Amino acid sequence: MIPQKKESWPRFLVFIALLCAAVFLANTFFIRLDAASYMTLHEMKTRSDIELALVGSSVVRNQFNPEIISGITGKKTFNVALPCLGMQGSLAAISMMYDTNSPEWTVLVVEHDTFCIPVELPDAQERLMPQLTGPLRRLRYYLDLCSQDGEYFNRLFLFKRLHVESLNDLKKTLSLRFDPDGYLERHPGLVSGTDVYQGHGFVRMELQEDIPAFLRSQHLTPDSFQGYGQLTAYSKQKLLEYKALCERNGSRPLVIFSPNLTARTLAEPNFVSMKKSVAAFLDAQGIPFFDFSLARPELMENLDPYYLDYFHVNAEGADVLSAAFARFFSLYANGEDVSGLFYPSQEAYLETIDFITNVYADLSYEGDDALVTAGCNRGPDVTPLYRFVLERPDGSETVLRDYSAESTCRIPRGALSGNTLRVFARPAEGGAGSPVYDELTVW
Amino acid sequence: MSPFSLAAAAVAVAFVYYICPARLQWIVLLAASCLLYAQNGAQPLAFLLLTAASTWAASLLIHRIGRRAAQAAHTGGAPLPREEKKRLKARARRRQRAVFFAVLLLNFGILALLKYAHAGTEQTLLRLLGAVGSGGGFRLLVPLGISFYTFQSMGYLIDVYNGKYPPERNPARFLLFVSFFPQMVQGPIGRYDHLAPQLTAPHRPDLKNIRYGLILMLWGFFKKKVIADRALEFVQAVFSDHTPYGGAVIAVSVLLYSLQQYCDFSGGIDLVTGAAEVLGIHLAPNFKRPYFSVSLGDFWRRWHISLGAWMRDYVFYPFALTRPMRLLSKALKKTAGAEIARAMPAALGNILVFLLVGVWHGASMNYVLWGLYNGVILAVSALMEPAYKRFGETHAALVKSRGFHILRVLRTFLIVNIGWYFDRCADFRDALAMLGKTVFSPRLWQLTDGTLFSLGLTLKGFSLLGASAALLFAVSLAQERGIRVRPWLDSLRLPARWALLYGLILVSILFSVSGSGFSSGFIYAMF
Repeated sequence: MIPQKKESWPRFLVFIALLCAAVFLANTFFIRLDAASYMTLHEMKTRSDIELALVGSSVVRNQFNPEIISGITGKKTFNVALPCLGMQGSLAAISMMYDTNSPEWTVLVVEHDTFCIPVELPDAQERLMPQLTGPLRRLRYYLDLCSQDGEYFNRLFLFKRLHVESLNDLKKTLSLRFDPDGYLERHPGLVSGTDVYQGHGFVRMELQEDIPAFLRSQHLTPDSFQGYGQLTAYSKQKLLEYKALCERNGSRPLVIFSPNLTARTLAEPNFVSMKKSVAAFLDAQGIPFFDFSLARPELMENLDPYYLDYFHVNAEGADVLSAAFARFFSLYANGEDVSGLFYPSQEAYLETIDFITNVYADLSYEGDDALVTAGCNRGPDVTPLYRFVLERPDGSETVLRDYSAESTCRIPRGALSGNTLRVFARPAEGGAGSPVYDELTVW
Repeated sequence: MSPFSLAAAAVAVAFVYYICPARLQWIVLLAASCLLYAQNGAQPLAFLLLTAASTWAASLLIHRIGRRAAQAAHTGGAPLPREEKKRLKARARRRQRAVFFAVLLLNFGILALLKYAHAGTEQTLLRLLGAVGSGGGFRLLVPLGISFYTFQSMGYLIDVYNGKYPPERNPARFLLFVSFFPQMVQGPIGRYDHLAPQLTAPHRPDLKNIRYGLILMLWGFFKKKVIADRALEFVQAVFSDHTPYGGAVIAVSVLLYSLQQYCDFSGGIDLVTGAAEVLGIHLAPNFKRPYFSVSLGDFWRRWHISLGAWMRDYVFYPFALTRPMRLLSKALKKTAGAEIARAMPAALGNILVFLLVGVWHGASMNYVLWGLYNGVILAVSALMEPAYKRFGETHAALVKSRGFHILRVLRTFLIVNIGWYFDRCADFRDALAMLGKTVFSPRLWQLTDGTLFSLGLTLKGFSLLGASAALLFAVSLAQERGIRVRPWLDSLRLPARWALLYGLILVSILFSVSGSGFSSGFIYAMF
């Protein structure tokens, strides 16, 4: 018989309390902090003069430059923005902002994933949760997140995924926690590769992307995006919570859809119905809504070189978008009619697209033949012409078929081996831009 | 329900349970069970209620028919003639039997329909029942844990029919017995006389129960999330398409499946048992370190004990004692001898039981073959039992030696693992092909050329899995040697005890598998 020591309730409760404390401390101090996110929230908490708050994910943080917007609108602007923030995080962050600020406007900037994927990624929680003030706010946010994905365990133990891995990580976390201003002085701009934190919650992305190459790598087809149906009941509830939160704090709500790369808009037939669903719901609830992917060129030219990917703009794009938003906002806030700045519908916008954004080619085999099938994303009235070219490793080229309406090309299987097949497309009607192409290398 | 949700639900329910007045505690359990079950949807809840209601009503009716027959036999002044009593009794038994089989058929029918019916059959049936228009669109969902609550309810009905105990009169109390929430996911299959009194008895918060329950849940969580879910990706990769792999990689995947399945099921049962223990309810054990078994029969007495016991009591014995079996035994006694005559009903009973267990896993050929494989080995073992006995008597020293014991354990492990090929492969032809490769085409180089580490488990993953399995083995070995782990923990000094517990908690959090899309529910929840 093993002699057993008597366990007591106080000792048991101490054990549990120590465990809770350890988890809390680990979640707060032992996770690798994203410096820019930390500084954003730190700055927000220490400020009390925000007049125009832009809330959202990276589509706010990297795209809306508060200095430009403040300069044009005359309102002190701040980005309450963390990468990957969903509706749950946005609401928690807004409520925390209201602890010290009374902005006249709280602008919610949304993008396709905000409603199509109502689950907020853990990346956002890891940035926001450790800095949320008040245990109740933390609990509510946590339960809100878990209600969508059931990840009670992983979301409770944040440090499991993002724990510090070196002394430097720990030093950085502790410095940010206990001396954020000192940290900022020692690391001006919080430069990380091509990202520069410029204050007011804005990170400037000094990065350029070759969008045609990006599109080729993505093989973007009309089937690439699925699941963008109607606004879910949960998303509707969150939008209503947003409206109520604003109203309770005397702030005016405004929802903005951030712009998208044209290729994506063309390739997402279901995206249109989703945006219509969002617009209809917000309209019924009296929440003003404007879609910047439908901005007319007079307001903002939606050019591919402004983009880093489907829905993130680079520094140049951010400047253009910020100025456009500021001009729009100034007019809107003054009560002027801004409807002329946007196309009335997605269809109306698409009708203006007279070019091909990208080509996609697929290869299949039929006996000894290889069959190349091409397609492209284009404006609704564009007729594509395709050209099939075989490029050898030495750089020499053979035109398999010059521009024609034929979208397939049959060649002997052996001819492909080791070579690169390029499929070009251009509008039959002429139109803007140079031909785009896709390429397949067959080994 | 995920392991963590189950643990969180248990803690939350326990909190309400213990602050409630004692007479209301069982109502808290019932409300929590129904509420948690309703999370799966209204349709599964409706099936659960139908099973509970039909079983409860049938048990009362069976009891009432028997009581009335007994009363009729004793009413009036003069006792009834013996013939009349016999007639009354026989009539009552016929009526009882009709009710009994009707409800048995109803519930096993629902189980079969939901588990096995082809979608087309299902839609035809629904149309016949008027539940759906010709356009279809309505699908029957398989309720969570349907096998477990059906078996549990039917076990109760059989016991009442056999007069083992009187029926429960309170439908709500009976519903609690059927729906007790920790058991919902994957059993164990409880017995009414053991479980029901505990569910309705008042419980004070007992620190020992709570601590032991939490420790068991932690251990179950470790087994499920650190071991089982880590092995899952590798097993899935190989079993979903074995063509690129040789026998060596396949053998590794079968060994990992062995580990995964054991840790998934027994870890889940630890969670369930721990959750119940926190509430002061002690469930019957469902596992007893099966991989230390010395024979296949021993293995099945240690693995999913509650299902084995159910099959033994409600299928095996009734079958072995049927008139045809007695006649067969009698006939064999004259032709094949007394030993064979005694063993034959048991042998055939084993084949029947494992055929049923196979079909219980799923209506596909691989499960049928898996069941037959086990049944036939057990049948042969039963027939050879006298020979084993004689060997034991003539080689007593050898049989009692440690080496022979280890050999028997390894032999059993091998037999069980061959069976897992059929259990895990969706198609029995794949199982045969994989088995063939394991023996004839091992391609040993795939263990070192990088193939092994390209299937979802890196070297680090294998190391973690190895270390975790070693810990599991050490604990199991200690238990096998009679050490009771939780009392042993209590015997340690406080710093050592807390260090061990905090360490296990930390390991379980840091090394639990998540987020890869392979984080899974429990394997046995689908049965």
